[in-house]
Amino acid sequence: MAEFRLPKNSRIKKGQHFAASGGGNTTTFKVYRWSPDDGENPRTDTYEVDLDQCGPMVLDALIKIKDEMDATLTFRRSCREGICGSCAMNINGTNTLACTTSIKQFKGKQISVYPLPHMEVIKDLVPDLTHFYAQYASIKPWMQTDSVPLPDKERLQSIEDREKLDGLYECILCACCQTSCPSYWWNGDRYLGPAVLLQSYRWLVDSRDEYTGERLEDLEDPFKVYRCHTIMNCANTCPKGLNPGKAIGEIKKMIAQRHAL
Amino acid sequence: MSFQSDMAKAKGLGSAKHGFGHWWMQRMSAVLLIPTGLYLLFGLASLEVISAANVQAWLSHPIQAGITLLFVVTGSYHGALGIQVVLEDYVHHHALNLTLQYLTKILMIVMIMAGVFAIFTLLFG
Repeated sequence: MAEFRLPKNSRIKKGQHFAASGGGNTTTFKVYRWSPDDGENPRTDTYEVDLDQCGPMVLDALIKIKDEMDATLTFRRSCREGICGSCAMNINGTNTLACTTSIKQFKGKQISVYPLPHMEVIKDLVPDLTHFYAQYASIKPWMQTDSVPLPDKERLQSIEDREKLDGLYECILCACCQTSCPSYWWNGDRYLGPAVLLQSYRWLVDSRDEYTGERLEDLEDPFKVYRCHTIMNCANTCPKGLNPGKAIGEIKKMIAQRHAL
Repeated sequence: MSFQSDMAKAKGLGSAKHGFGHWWMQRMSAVLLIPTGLYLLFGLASLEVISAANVQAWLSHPIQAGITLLFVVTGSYHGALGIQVVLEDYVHHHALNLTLQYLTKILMIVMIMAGVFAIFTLLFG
């Protein structure tokens, strides 16, 4: 059965409090902490961060915490400009990128930072995305062709056909949508999830790809695609403003067309 | 402990190569439920007093009876399709899932048979 309560060893306890070293302009960050090494339950530590000595984004605050207050805090980050997707996490109840989420928008209120929901945690804010990446690889996210182009020619694409990839190619695979989807929470082992399906559609509508039929055949499955119940958390949470729910709808329409409808 | 590769886990047993039929019929039955449901609702609302005798009299007309029958059959079918999805979503215990799926289908058949029997009795009985 679906589980609606965290298992005993996953229930979150209150953790330590780290006070700000100085300044009155502070905001409190409540951060999920869990280490695989100590056998303890997860906890939430609170950190008071002096905003006068901190960059504008939530990621800046996390880096400041790690640098100056608690070096044990673990999280992924890389580009700090919303293009690598590493710092995807749940900030005040919404999956988003810490590097593009400004601290100011929360107007001084406490900011809760948790790892992406319903994924196994490796440590602190680092979720295990292994299955997500394997699912992504399983849809063969590359151009598949049978025809062989002339060696001195590229595969051409019209401007109109290229425009069909807009709203799809921008996906950075941060897994914000994937882990916001209740269908993915309950059936993530078999349901491909919004991010992987958006990527599927990206190849389905690519005019240069020659394996559309095979791709649709692989997708038509009660679990792979049809677990999507258009809840639309995916579109709501995407930090890049994309709409995976619509892409899934388009896949369903393509499958319908295959069935002569 | 499993030494199965991540890709093997992701691919699982592969595509069932169906799923569209269920999805399509769920939508088609939903669309049919709108006019038949509204007809039934307004039909019953038009009765001065909703009593067994009045409803029986209203249902004795072939068009009323036909549309009500369509509503009962479509509603039962649509309901069974919907419950199937809920069970697939939430009941992961295999044997329990199979049992509940089976009971849902039986309930659907019983509801349809009861509806057909009741309306035919009113019409011809």
